[in-house]
Amino acid sequence: MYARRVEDRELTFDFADGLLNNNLLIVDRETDSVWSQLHGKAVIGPMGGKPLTVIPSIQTTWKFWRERHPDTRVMKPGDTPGRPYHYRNRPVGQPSRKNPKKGHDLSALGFGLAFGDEALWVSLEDLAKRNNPVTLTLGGQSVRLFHDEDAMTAWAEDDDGNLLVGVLAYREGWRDFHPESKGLP
Amino acid sequence: MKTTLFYLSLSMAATIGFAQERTVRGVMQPRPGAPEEDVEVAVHPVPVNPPSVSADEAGLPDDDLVLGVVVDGKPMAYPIRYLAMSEILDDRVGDTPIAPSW
Repeated sequence: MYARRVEDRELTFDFADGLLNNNLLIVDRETDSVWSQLHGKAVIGPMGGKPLTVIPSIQTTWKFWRERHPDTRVMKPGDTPGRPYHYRNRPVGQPSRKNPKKGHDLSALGFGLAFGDEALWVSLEDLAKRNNPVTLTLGGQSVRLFHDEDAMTAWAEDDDGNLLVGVLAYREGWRDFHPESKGLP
Repeated sequence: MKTTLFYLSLSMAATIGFAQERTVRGVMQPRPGAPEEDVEVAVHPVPVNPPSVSADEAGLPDDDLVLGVVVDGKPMAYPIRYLAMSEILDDRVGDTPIAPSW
Protein backbone atom coordinates (compact mmCIF):
# COMPACT_ATOMS: atom_id res chain seq x y z
CA MET A 1 0.00 0.00 0.00
CA TYR A 2 1.64 3.20 -1.16
CA ALA A 3 0.91 6.83 -0.50
CA ARG A 4 0.06 8.61 -3.75
CA ARG A 5 0.85 12.02 -2.33
CA VAL A 6 4.49 12.93 -2.84
CA GLU A 7 5.36 16.35 -1.43
CA ASP A 8 2.56 18.51 -2.81
CA ARG A 9 1.67 16.30 -5.80
CA GLU A 10 -0.90 13.58 -6.08
CA LEU A 11 0.35 10.83 -8.35
CA THR A 12 -1.45 8.09 -10.24
CA PHE A 13 0.57 4.88 -10.36
CA ASP A 14 0.44 2.33 -13.16
CA PHE A 15 2.05 -1.07 -13.22
CA ALA A 16 5.17 -1.56 -15.34
CA ASP A 17 6.70 -4.82 -16.51
CA GLY A 18 9.63 -5.19 -14.18
CA LEU A 19 13.19 -6.06 -14.96
CA LEU A 20 13.71 -8.41 -12.08
CA ASN A 21 11.72 -10.91 -10.14
CA ASN A 22 10.72 -9.59 -6.73
CA ASN A 23 10.86 -5.94 -7.76
CA LEU A 24 7.66 -4.07 -8.42
CA LEU A 25 8.11 -1.14 -10.80
CA ILE A 26 5.43 1.48 -11.00
CA VAL A 27 5.21 4.54 -13.22
CA ASP A 28 3.24 7.67 -12.42
CA ARG A 29 1.05 9.23 -15.10
CA GLU A 30 1.91 12.77 -14.07
CA THR A 31 5.68 12.64 -14.72
CA ASP A 32 6.39 9.17 -16.21
CA SER A 33 8.88 8.62 -13.39
CA VAL A 34 9.69 4.99 -12.59
CA TRP A 35 9.45 3.98 -8.93
CA SER A 36 11.17 0.87 -7.64
CA GLN A 37 9.99 -1.08 -4.62
CA LEU A 38 13.45 -2.57 -4.22
CA HIS A 39 15.08 0.86 -4.03
CA GLY A 40 12.19 2.37 -2.07
CA LYS A 41 12.17 5.46 -4.32
CA ALA A 42 11.84 6.80 -7.84
CA VAL A 43 14.82 5.73 -9.93
CA ILE A 44 14.09 7.27 -13.34
CA GLY A 45 12.53 10.58 -14.31
CA PRO A 46 11.76 13.95 -12.70
CA MET A 47 10.82 12.36 -9.36
CA GLY A 48 14.13 10.49 -9.20
CA GLY A 49 15.39 10.11 -5.64
CA LYS A 50 12.05 10.83 -3.98
CA PRO A 51 11.00 8.14 -1.50
CA LEU A 52 8.17 5.69 -2.12
CA THR A 53 6.11 5.86 1.07
CA VAL A 54 4.58 2.62 2.30
CA ILE A 55 1.37 2.77 4.34
CA PRO A 56 0.81 -0.07 6.83
CA SER A 57 -1.71 -2.65 5.67
CA ILE A 58 -2.57 -6.23 6.51
CA GLN A 59 -3.34 -9.19 4.31
CA THR A 60 -5.87 -11.44 5.92
CA THR A 61 -9.09 -13.35 5.40
CA TRP A 62 -12.26 -11.38 4.80
CA LYS A 63 -13.78 -12.93 7.96
CA PHE A 64 -10.90 -11.71 10.11
CA TRP A 65 -11.01 -8.18 8.69
CA ARG A 66 -14.76 -7.83 8.83
CA GLU A 67 -14.96 -8.99 12.45
CA ARG A 68 -12.49 -6.32 13.51
CA HIS A 69 -13.88 -3.60 11.25
CA PRO A 70 -17.62 -4.18 10.78
CA ASP A 71 -17.95 -0.71 9.29
CA THR A 72 -15.39 -1.41 6.59
CA ARG A 73 -15.95 -0.53 2.97
CA VAL A 74 -14.81 -3.00 0.35
CA MET A 75 -13.72 -2.54 -3.23
CA LYS A 76 -16.72 -3.74 -5.20
CA PRO A 77 -16.17 -7.26 -6.49
CA GLY A 78 -16.29 -7.44 -10.28
CA ASP A 79 -18.42 -9.62 -12.49
CA THR A 80 -15.62 -12.13 -13.02
CA PRO A 81 -14.06 -14.40 -10.41
CA GLY A 82 -10.94 -12.29 -10.74
CA ARG A 83 -7.43 -13.63 -10.91
CA PRO A 84 -6.57 -16.85 -9.12
CA TYR A 85 -3.91 -16.11 -6.55
CA HIS A 86 -1.75 -18.24 -4.36
CA TYR A 87 1.21 -17.64 -2.17
CA ARG A 88 4.19 -17.65 -4.43
CA ASN A 89 7.85 -17.58 -3.74
CA ARG A 90 8.08 -13.81 -3.54
CA PRO A 91 6.99 -11.04 -1.19
CA VAL A 92 3.31 -10.20 -1.39
CA GLY A 93 2.96 -7.24 -3.71
CA GLN A 94 5.52 -8.29 -6.28
CA PRO A 95 5.00 -9.04 -9.95
CA SER A 96 4.54 -12.72 -10.60
CA ARG A 97 7.29 -14.92 -11.92
CA LYS A 98 6.79 -16.66 -15.26
CA ASN A 99 6.04 -19.99 -13.60
CA PRO A 100 4.53 -19.40 -10.19
CA LYS A 101 4.38 -22.26 -7.76
CA LYS A 102 0.87 -23.63 -7.71
CA GLY A 103 -1.18 -23.75 -4.55
CA HIS A 104 -0.67 -22.28 -1.11
CA ASP A 105 2.60 -23.31 0.47
CA LEU A 106 2.31 -21.95 3.96
CA SER A 107 5.20 -23.94 5.39
CA ALA A 108 7.78 -21.52 4.03
CA LEU A 109 5.71 -18.35 4.36
CA GLY A 110 6.77 -15.82 6.90
CA PHE A 111 6.58 -12.22 7.98
CA GLY A 112 9.21 -9.58 7.26
CA LEU A 113 9.80 -6.32 9.12
CA ALA A 114 12.42 -3.62 8.79
CA PHE A 115 13.09 -0.48 10.84
CA GLY A 116 16.12 1.73 10.73
CA ASP A 117 18.95 -0.52 9.59
CA GLU A 118 17.61 -3.71 11.13
CA ALA A 119 15.46 -6.33 9.44
CA LEU A 120 13.73 -9.47 10.63
CA TRP A 121 12.03 -12.46 9.03
CA VAL A 122 10.16 -15.18 10.88
CA SER A 123 8.15 -18.09 9.47
CA LEU A 124 4.45 -18.29 10.31
CA GLU A 125 5.16 -21.84 11.50
CA ASP A 126 7.66 -20.54 14.04
CA LEU A 127 5.42 -17.67 15.13
CA ALA A 128 2.54 -20.06 15.79
CA LYS A 129 4.57 -21.66 18.58
CA ARG A 130 5.31 -18.41 20.36
CA ASN A 131 3.48 -15.90 22.52
CA ASN A 132 0.87 -13.78 20.83
CA PRO A 133 2.12 -11.11 20.51
CA VAL A 134 5.87 -11.49 20.50
CA THR A 135 7.38 -8.27 21.81
CA LEU A 136 10.68 -7.00 20.47
CA THR A 137 12.58 -3.90 19.49
CA LEU A 138 13.87 -3.55 15.95
CA GLY A 139 15.96 -0.63 14.72
CA GLY A 140 14.78 1.38 17.70
CA GLN A 141 11.09 0.65 17.02
CA SER A 142 9.09 -1.10 19.71
CA VAL A 143 7.14 -3.93 18.05
CA ARG A 144 4.33 -6.26 19.04
CA LEU A 145 4.22 -9.11 16.53
CA PHE A 146 0.83 -10.87 16.26
CA HIS A 147 -0.18 -13.99 14.38
CA ASP A 148 -3.46 -15.69 13.54
CA GLU A 149 -3.39 -19.14 11.96
CA ASP A 150 -7.02 -19.16 10.80
CA ALA A 151 -6.54 -15.87 9.03
CA MET A 152 -3.18 -17.07 7.64
CA THR A 153 -1.59 -13.86 8.71
CA ALA A 154 0.79 -12.03 10.95
CA TRP A 155 1.07 -8.33 11.62
CA ALA A 156 2.97 -5.87 13.74
CA GLU A 157 1.77 -3.02 15.93
CA ASP A 158 3.50 -0.33 17.93
CA ASP A 159 2.83 0.16 21.63
CA ASP A 160 -0.25 2.28 20.87
CA GLY A 161 -1.88 -0.39 18.72
CA ASN A 162 -1.09 1.30 15.41
CA LEU A 163 -0.34 -1.02 12.53
CA LEU A 164 3.31 -1.00 11.47
CA VAL A 165 4.60 -1.67 7.96
CA GLY A 166 5.41 -5.35 7.50
CA VAL A 167 4.87 -7.91 4.79
CA LEU A 168 4.02 -11.57 4.38
CA ALA A 169 6.87 -13.03 2.37
CA TYR A 170 8.86 -16.13 1.69
CA ARG A 171 12.33 -16.06 3.20
CA GLU A 172 14.13 -15.90 -0.16
CA GLY A 173 11.93 -13.14 -1.54
CA TRP A 174 12.39 -11.11 1.63
CA ARG A 175 16.15 -11.56 1.49
CA ASP A 176 16.25 -9.94 -1.96
CA PHE A 177 15.28 -6.77 -0.16
CA HIS A 178 17.04 -7.32 3.16
CA PRO A 179 20.04 -9.62 2.81
CA GLU A 180 21.14 -8.81 6.38
CA SER A 181 17.88 -9.96 7.93
CA LYS A 182 18.01 -11.83 11.19
CA GLY A 183 15.53 -14.18 12.88
CA LEU A 184 13.77 -14.13 16.21
CA PRO A 185 15.93 -15.28 19.13
CA MET B 1 -22.72 10.19 -36.06
CA LYS B 2 -21.78 7.49 -33.55
CA THR B 3 -18.49 6.82 -35.33
CA THR B 4 -17.65 10.53 -35.32
CA LEU B 5 -18.35 10.78 -31.61
CA PHE B 6 -16.23 7.69 -30.93
CA TYR B 7 -13.15 9.10 -32.67
CA LEU B 8 -13.72 12.50 -31.12
CA SER B 9 -13.74 10.99 -27.65
CA LEU B 10 -10.58 9.00 -28.39
CA SER B 11 -8.65 12.07 -29.48
CA MET B 12 -9.93 13.99 -26.47
CA ALA B 13 -8.80 11.20 -24.18
CA ALA B 14 -5.32 11.32 -25.68
CA THR B 15 -5.18 15.09 -25.32
CA ILE B 16 -6.12 15.17 -21.65
CA GLY B 17 -3.54 12.50 -20.75
CA PHE B 18 -5.84 9.56 -20.36
CA ALA B 19 -4.03 6.46 -19.24
CA GLN B 20 -2.73 4.32 -22.02
CA GLU B 21 -0.25 1.58 -22.69
CA ARG B 22 3.09 3.29 -23.11
CA THR B 23 6.83 2.74 -22.86
CA VAL B 24 9.19 4.61 -20.59
CA ARG B 25 12.94 4.59 -21.13
CA GLY B 26 15.79 5.55 -18.89
CA VAL B 27 18.88 4.46 -17.06
CA MET B 28 18.80 2.75 -13.70
CA GLN B 29 20.64 0.42 -11.36
CA PRO B 30 18.80 -2.92 -11.47
CA ARG B 31 19.53 -3.22 -7.75
CA PRO B 32 21.27 -0.87 -5.36
CA GLY B 33 25.03 -0.99 -5.87
CA ALA B 34 24.86 -2.64 -9.31
CA PRO B 35 26.10 -0.92 -12.51
CA GLU B 36 23.56 1.22 -14.33
CA GLU B 37 21.72 -0.22 -17.32
CA ASP B 38 19.56 1.12 -20.13
CA VAL B 39 16.00 0.29 -19.28
CA GLU B 40 12.75 0.16 -21.18
CA VAL B 41 9.56 -0.66 -19.32
CA ALA B 42 6.08 -1.24 -20.67
CA VAL B 43 3.47 0.58 -18.62
CA HIS B 44 -0.02 -0.85 -18.15
CA PRO B 45 -2.87 1.39 -16.96
CA VAL B 46 -4.69 0.24 -13.85
CA PRO B 47 -8.11 1.10 -12.36
CA VAL B 48 -8.51 4.46 -10.64
CA ASN B 49 -11.11 5.12 -7.92
CA PRO B 50 -12.91 1.77 -8.28
CA PRO B 51 -16.40 1.68 -6.72
CA SER B 52 -16.77 0.41 -3.16
CA VAL B 53 -19.59 -1.21 -1.23
CA SER B 54 -20.45 -1.90 2.40
CA ALA B 55 -19.41 -5.11 4.12
CA ASP B 56 -22.95 -6.48 3.84
CA GLU B 57 -23.09 -5.80 0.11
CA ALA B 58 -19.69 -7.31 -0.62
CA GLY B 59 -20.80 -10.95 -0.76
CA LEU B 60 -17.29 -12.30 -0.26
CA PRO B 61 -16.56 -15.78 1.09
CA ASP B 62 -15.13 -15.81 4.63
CA ASP B 63 -11.78 -17.18 3.55
CA ASP B 64 -11.22 -14.85 0.61
CA LEU B 65 -7.99 -12.93 1.11
CA VAL B 66 -8.17 -9.17 1.34
CA LEU B 67 -5.70 -6.38 1.83
CA GLY B 68 -6.99 -4.26 4.71
CA VAL B 69 -6.05 -0.72 5.65
CA VAL B 70 -7.32 1.99 7.98
CA VAL B 71 -6.75 5.49 6.62
CA ASP B 72 -8.11 8.69 8.19
CA GLY B 73 -9.94 6.38 10.60
CA LYS B 74 -11.75 4.64 7.75
CA PRO B 75 -11.29 0.90 7.21
CA MET B 76 -11.10 -0.30 3.62
CA ALA B 77 -10.55 -3.77 2.17
CA TYR B 78 -9.36 -4.81 -1.29
CA PRO B 79 -10.10 -8.39 -2.35
CA ILE B 80 -6.80 -9.89 -3.50
CA ARG B 81 -8.48 -11.71 -6.40
CA TYR B 82 -9.25 -8.33 -8.01
CA LEU B 83 -6.18 -6.45 -6.83
CA ALA B 84 -4.04 -9.21 -8.34
CA MET B 85 -5.47 -8.47 -11.78
CA SER B 86 -3.63 -5.18 -12.00
CA GLU B 87 -0.93 -5.57 -9.32
CA ILE B 88 -1.69 -2.05 -8.14
CA LEU B 89 -4.55 0.35 -8.34
CA ASP B 90 -5.28 3.96 -7.40
CA ASP B 91 -7.91 4.87 -4.87
CA ARG B 92 -8.82 7.39 -2.21
CA VAL B 93 -9.91 6.72 1.37
CA GLY B 94 -11.14 9.76 3.25
CA ASP B 95 -8.93 12.58 2.04
CA THR B 96 -5.94 10.37 1.41
CA PRO B 97 -5.03 9.03 -2.03
CA ILE B 98 -3.55 5.54 -1.75
CA ALA B 99 -2.30 2.82 -4.08
CA PRO B 100 -3.01 -0.69 -2.78
CA SER B 101 -0.68 -3.24 -4.28
CA TRP B 102 -0.31 -6.98 -4.27
